[in-house]
Amino acid sequence: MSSARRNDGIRRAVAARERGRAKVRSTTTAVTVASVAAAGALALALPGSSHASSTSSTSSGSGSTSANSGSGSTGSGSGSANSGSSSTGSGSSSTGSGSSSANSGSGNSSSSSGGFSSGSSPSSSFGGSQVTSGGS
Amino acid sequence: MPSPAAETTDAEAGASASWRALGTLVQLVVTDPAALPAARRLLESDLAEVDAACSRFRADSEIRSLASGRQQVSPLLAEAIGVALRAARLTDGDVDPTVGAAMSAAGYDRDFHQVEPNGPPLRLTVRQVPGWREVRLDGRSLTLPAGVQLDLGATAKAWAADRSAARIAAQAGCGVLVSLGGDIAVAGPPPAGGWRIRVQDVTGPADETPEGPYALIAIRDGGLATSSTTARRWQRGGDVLHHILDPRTGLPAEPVWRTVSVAAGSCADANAASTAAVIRGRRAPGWLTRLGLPSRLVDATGAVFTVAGWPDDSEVAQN
Repeated sequence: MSSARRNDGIRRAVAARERGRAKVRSTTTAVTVASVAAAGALALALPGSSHASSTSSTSSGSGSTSANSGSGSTGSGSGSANSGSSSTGSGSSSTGSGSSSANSGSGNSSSSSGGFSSGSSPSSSFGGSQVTSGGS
Repeated sequence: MPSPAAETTDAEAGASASWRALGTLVQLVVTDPAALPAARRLLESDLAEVDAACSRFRADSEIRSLASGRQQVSPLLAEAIGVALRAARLTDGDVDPTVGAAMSAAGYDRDFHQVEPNGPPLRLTVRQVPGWREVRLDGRSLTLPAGVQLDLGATAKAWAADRSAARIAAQAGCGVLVSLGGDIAVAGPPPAGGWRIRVQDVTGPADETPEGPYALIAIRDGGLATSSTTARRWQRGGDVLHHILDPRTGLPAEPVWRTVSVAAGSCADANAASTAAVIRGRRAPGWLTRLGLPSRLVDATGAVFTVAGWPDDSEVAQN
């Protein structure tokens, strides 16, 4: 099954559920969860984001291009460039239904919108790092 | 492969140790070098308890003993499940602990190092997972519907980092950083200039130059988490799968972002947001901006986007 057909199948199944149909009918599809790296060029302007730099590198697969020039932070209006626009970022307001259980641990935080706790903003750092943060 | 264990001491940075546990790289840093041995013992003990309660890969773990219906669980497992349900609520179900069966069906049904990197084609069913709203937790009383397998893999490490960092700081009276596979929690007074962290695609030793774009930042409190589709990947029939499932399909999320890092008031919240961002795809930057959570997103081409106060000048230029 081609990747495109599989993706169509997935989208239809998701759309059906989101339209409120009773239950998603099971749709069996061959796993062609193709190329993790082939998400396509995302060179569009993302709402609320500042485009820092880029480097096309590592990731397996389909020599995607569209990499941007690199070097340093190109980001327009750093930090608070998050003004508005948000045309994409559709709803999905994570308002959370209040109530209940466990707080997540180290309690040195204040609450941000959506119920997430927030800490002080990170700053840029120079020199050696003590630890790394990536996928694992 | 990270070195199995290492300890270093630096007058300015404190002392650190690293080893492997919970199937991942553990990094511990304390501002008082004299506190390191006791801090490490406490962390090792904490992680052993978490593993015994939460690992779905251990036949003798508490989570594997859960059945459908109502049951009492240990305080530790109740806390872990509570954190997972909180993540589900905050992310509108993007981070859902009921993905256990879907994760197994996708081939991730044992410790990751035992998962065959390549295998024959799989046939998967596009089907929404049972859903976190079906799970009831009231104190230590847990009710599971039939057929639901909990998987706390998306939240347990981050919560465990929060928990242990707070416990070690309280015991040692110094600044502490705990990293479990790149899910980082800090507690106590930070070192001058903050905790220095290199953010990259895949967690690794700090003294090894990473592949791909990376940033150097410092945090002073709370937590930082990174979710990535470049880690924990395997292939079936030539197709690449990864461990971040979209609960609405039960399949690996579309890889719009290969790596997302978020800073928040706790590692658990940072991790919930970073994981949800991978699943939300193109909607993620707007969502993170509205939440006010400083974030860095790397797309499939390696282009980097930052929102909500993530320092733009933290990116290290690549040659």
